[in-house]
Amino acid sequence: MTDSVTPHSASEAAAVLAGAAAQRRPVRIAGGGTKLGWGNPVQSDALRLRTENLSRVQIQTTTPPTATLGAGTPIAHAQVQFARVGMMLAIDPQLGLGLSPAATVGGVFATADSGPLSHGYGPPRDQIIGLTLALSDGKVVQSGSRVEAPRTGYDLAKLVTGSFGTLGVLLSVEVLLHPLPSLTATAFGSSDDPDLLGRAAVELAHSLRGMQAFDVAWRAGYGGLLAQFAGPEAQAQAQAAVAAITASGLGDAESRTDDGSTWAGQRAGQRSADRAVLRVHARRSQLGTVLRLAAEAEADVVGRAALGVSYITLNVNRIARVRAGLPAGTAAVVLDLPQSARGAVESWDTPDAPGLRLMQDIKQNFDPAGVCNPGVFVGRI
Amino acid sequence: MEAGADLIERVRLVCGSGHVLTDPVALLTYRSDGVRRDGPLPLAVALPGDAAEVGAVVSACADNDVPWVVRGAGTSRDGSALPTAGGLLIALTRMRRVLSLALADDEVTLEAGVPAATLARSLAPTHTVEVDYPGTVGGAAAAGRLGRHLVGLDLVQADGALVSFTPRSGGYDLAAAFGGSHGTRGIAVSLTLRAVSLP
Repeated sequence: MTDSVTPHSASEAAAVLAGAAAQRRPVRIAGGGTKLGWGNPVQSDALRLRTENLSRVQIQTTTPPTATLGAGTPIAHAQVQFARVGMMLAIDPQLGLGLSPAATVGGVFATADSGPLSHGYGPPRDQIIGLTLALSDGKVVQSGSRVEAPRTGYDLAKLVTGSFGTLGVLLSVEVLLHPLPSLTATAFGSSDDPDLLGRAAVELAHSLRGMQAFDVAWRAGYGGLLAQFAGPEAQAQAQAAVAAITASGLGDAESRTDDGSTWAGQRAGQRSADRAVLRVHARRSQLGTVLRLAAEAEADVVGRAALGVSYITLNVNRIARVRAGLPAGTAAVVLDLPQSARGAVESWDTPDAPGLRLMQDIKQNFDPAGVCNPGVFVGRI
Repeated sequence: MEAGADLIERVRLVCGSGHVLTDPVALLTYRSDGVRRDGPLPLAVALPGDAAEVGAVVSACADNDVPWVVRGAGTSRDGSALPTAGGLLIALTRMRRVLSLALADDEVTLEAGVPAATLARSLAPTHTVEVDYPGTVGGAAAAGRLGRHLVGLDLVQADGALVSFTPRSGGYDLAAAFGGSHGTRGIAVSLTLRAVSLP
């Protein structure tokens, strides 16, 4: 049976890690538990370190406004607090499988998970400006706006974001906040031609200004592009975008004020409980190729049309074929897998040898005992 | 042969003798930085012409146990461009080519010695990258002044090996984390920037 600990403070978390390091016992770090299936499996006797007691929301009304969030804070809870003061954290992934929005701050930053807002505001690494991290030698390290020491190494906050908990236990983050828009509206256009959608994405990414989100969706042989605008002029901007969408060659162009369901659907399309989800990062200009591969594999796609990030939901036995067909230089990582397939599919692409060596060196420097989520990451780091 | 002389001979073979400076008067140009403080005179100044030459120079330094400092235009104001006594100064000012321009993807890849002030001109009239920095793009990256524009880089490590990180690499986000490392994590020989398309 897996032991589990729930530290109440940074020092407790660091002491737990140091104790595990002394025994060379792997530690599996868990927040809301919504993404524990991502990455390669950690050995089953790992000590589970749960961050649920490291929960706090502290808003700083500075310019720009920021917030300090405990790693165990549910994102949904933090967003409610921010909305009360007219702000938001511009990170909007799907917050869990099913109805429970349990994803925590620590889990979202550890996996660099994101949603449609990353088009307008950038990925999680652009939202984080500092953090506190417990290391397996028992130390607690900090970076950010309130740390005065000059920095000459890697930017710790950006290095830890997306590191899948392999460098230490994320205890808290300092993030930028943005004004919560009063109104959003979306313009749509559609086609059954993957290449046309790809060409239109390139054209509209350049011609439509001020989009908060710009997504692609593909399902059952038919797809569309969605351009979302925010603020008092959102409706007018979305209506004006309809002409550009029509000019790009897409059909059925229209605009409407958002009721939330369309974009909730986009977020939900990033996860699956019973099929695999492959996250592909290609060039924007390769979107047509990615959609065509997905269509051939009878897969569904949602993604960021201008950023080249696509979430492909497909049957497990189609993963290898889609991966093999991707353009050179494209990254693909398997996120969700059905329980029966976990451990049988390598989650990450194989990195080149110098890159892997450098990443192994970094892991060794942060976690010489090798106890923090060992094996889950690229190259089984 | 002493380590310094051996190193200079190897670096001349790599870069060409016209791109290795040892004359004391010529070295004076390279002893100061953006606030015109004077550091020590370096052993020599190497002016490599591409990434492979940077890797070979760094490898030669490692073999001879000679420290090196890298600089672009030498406009840094924090002391990180000042040479060390008896060390090699590697200046990237000959490396100023635009390596690829993928305008459909809003991406440009440049050698590190491209002057930051010429970036906007290189990308006009369709794109721009606003960088308020007096030196090179490599210097701007090392000083953390490229912000979210910096999405990929080729890095020469202390043993001379080259590691590439593109916007689409898996693993640790080393391109983003490199910003502000002041040359302590290796030499960024080329950088991929996300440009902004103009209306």
